[in-house]
Amino acid sequence: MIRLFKNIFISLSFLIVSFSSVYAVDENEAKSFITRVGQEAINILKIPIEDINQREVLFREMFNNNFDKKLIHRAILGKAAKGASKEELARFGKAFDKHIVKVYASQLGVYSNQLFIIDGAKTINKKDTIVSSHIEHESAPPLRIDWRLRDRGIGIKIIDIAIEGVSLLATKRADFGASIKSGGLRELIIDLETKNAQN
Amino acid sequence: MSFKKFKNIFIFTIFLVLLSSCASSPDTVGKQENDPFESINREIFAFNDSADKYIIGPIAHAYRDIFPDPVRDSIRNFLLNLRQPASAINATLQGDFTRGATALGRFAINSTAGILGLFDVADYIGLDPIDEDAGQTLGVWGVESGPYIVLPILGPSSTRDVIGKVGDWLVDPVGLYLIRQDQQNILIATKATQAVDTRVELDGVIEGSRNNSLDPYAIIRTMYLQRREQQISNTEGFFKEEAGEESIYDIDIDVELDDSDL
Repeated sequence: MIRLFKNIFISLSFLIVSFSSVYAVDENEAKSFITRVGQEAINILKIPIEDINQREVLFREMFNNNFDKKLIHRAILGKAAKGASKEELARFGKAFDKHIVKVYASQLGVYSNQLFIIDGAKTINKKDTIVSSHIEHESAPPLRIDWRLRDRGIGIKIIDIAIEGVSLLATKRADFGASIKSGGLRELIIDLETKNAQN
Repeated sequence: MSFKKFKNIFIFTIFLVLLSSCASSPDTVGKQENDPFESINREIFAFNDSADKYIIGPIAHAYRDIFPDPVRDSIRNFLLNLRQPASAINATLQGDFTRGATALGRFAINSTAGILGLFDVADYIGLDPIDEDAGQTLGVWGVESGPYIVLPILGPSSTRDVIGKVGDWLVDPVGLYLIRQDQQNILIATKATQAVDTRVELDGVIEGSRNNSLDPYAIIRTMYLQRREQQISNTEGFFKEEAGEESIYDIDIDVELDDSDL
């Protein structure tokens, strides 16, 4: 009897998890989520570029809380993830996250009265919702940013960003392609760790 | 050499380029990106990178440092205004008559009220900048981008965009007018200034890819191809609904991932 209960419980849990990952994020919730993330990003921009440590702390926090890092890691690795050990994947994840934080904490620029405007949200398939936004600045053309969101049972998370049509996920995949081709995931990890040590 | 001979060589070259556009890539690294000339492209990229590091980049930085933002904005407006007639023609050829009319309207307003285009008055009254080229027109007509090509000094391109560049010279009313008036020097000066201004705009991308990426060549290639695709589709957003095709987001993540160590 206990076993029957256990099986029913496991089946129900599986169904709940499955259903929660089938439906895309509600469009209004998606807009609210990106409005909050945008505000976090502006707060980082307000920190002087010289205070790189503080920028990195806040950027890491924003990245950890709002991005689906595991999905991003797997999507970037593609087939290279197959057959990799859990330790290798974890080591890659650590090196990749450090790489992203180092690069973007310094490259985000500084705040100079830019306006972050949400233009709309659209569910594009069963899993993903896109929030369109742009940054307005009096002396520069508008900068278009699209956010791809998914909730696979761990809350709303960003899985990719496209700036003026350029997907960051696709760009990083291309960046790592040569290392993976040359020596697989192991070489990519070494290359990334070396790069992180240089920067 | 006669005009007829030139014409024949031109048509033959286009034929060759279009033919090569249909060829599939034998290169595994560039498989997704259609980059069959990757080896030679990488060599030209390395040459361009050195030229940028020691000549073009420093010129662009000097231009950025010498001229204050408002002056550079006006120069950028002036150059964009010169491209509006060609943009109007290209938008119209793409069947987008509204954008074609917008580009013409912008040219008329900014050339007069905007003092030869130095001030973007049209933008204030709601006429957004239009920047269409012949490469985009070919893309709208269904011509595939073809193999990726890195041109010496000019940088990333594709076979379609190389043809487009030739087309741009042939249909640009401002350029043709200056040539007819024997003012090639002005034309060359505007093109050179355009190149320097574009380099300033792309400074973050170029320096960022050089300093932070494992493979700057691959980064620039994918950025160029993605950006061109978006420019051609003129879509409101980049992410589109994938109609049955596998995408990089199609990971059965809920099965494959263990989030316990998130």
